[in-house]
Amino acid sequence: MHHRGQAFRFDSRNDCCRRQARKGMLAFAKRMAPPQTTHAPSAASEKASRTSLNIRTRLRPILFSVGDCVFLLVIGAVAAMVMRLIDSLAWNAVLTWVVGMALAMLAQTILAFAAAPLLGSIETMVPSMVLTMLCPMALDLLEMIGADLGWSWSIGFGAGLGFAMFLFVEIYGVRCRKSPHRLGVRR
Amino acid sequence: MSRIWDLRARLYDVCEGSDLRRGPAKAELFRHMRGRVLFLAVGTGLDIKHFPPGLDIVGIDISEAMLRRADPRARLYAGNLKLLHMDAMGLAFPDASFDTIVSSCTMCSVPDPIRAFRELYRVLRPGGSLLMFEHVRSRNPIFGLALDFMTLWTRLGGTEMNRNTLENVVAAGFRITQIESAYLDIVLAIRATKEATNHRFNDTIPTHRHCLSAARAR
Repeated sequence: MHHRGQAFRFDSRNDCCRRQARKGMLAFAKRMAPPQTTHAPSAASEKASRTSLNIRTRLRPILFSVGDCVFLLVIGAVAAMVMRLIDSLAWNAVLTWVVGMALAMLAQTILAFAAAPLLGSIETMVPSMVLTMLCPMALDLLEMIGADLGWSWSIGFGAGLGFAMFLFVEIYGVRCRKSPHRLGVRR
Repeated sequence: MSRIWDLRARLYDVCEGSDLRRGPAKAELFRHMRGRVLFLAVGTGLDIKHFPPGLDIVGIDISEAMLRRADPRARLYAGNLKLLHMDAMGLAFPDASFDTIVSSCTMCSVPDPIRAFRELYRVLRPGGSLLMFEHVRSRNPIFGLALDFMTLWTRLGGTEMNRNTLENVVAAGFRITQIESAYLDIVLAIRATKEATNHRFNDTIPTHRHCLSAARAR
């Protein structure tokens, strides 16, 4: 605080001085600022915001599709790895299939829970569960008919099944959106 | 039942909410909210941000833990939003007291869905709308089987993945006006109405075949 009769000297450590300086700067900034408009945003800015919204709206399903695809590729590969691991124990074919499928589903459930916040709970759980049912079954069947795939081919086969499942889900999704009678009753 | 949901409240937003993916579809459905609104199973209030502003909404839930989590989100709503602890199967509201009833992934978890729908029918005014964002059993045999299988353990947590909610809606006396796919034929945005004329509850639950043939005949 400066006292009456005392010449005012700016002191940055002094609260009062700092407040007055801030007030002065605000007033200066107000004078220098371009006049505020109260009318609606210009057509150009509206068009730009609409374009950005359109891009986001179009990009959204593409990003989710990419996410779904990567997730199903991973699930297919993991299911094949688990099955291959159980297969290396040289158990009975039925036991290998049951234990392999159970462990693959356990891994799938954990991965689906991990991906759920990003890709959605049902959206991750349902197709990946079908995939982990099919993948060990298909690998076991191939084993039974004498086609012994190595580790890398098994994983590739699992990822391929994952991609096939992704395509199936995409096509089925388009058909559901295009023909609402598929979805249920309309009375 | 409420104890299960009290436990699930802790992880609901992270694991089950799926708001990132389903948010826009929910917002699109909730756009049709009108007048006095009843929101069933408000949960942790994840859907509140999609509500159109300026409405008079009553949100109910069976779990007090969920309601506690929903409270800060309800305060942010730009309208009148009241949260109440209540069971959907026994609503403490007079007949025809709401213009719109909204549910979001609720009917999979209500022990007796037809009883709940009949309660909704009672509290909805004639001509009012029922908006539902629900997951149902897929008509695709492969996905349907997967959902049946999942129900074996999700039932322990109070959720059934293979409910036929569309038939339950019709059985309670509502008329379905629109169904849109949010994800395959599993997650659906359903719009139904309580017709203004006197309507008696259907005593029998119609089958898919029956409903489809009725739709074709029309």
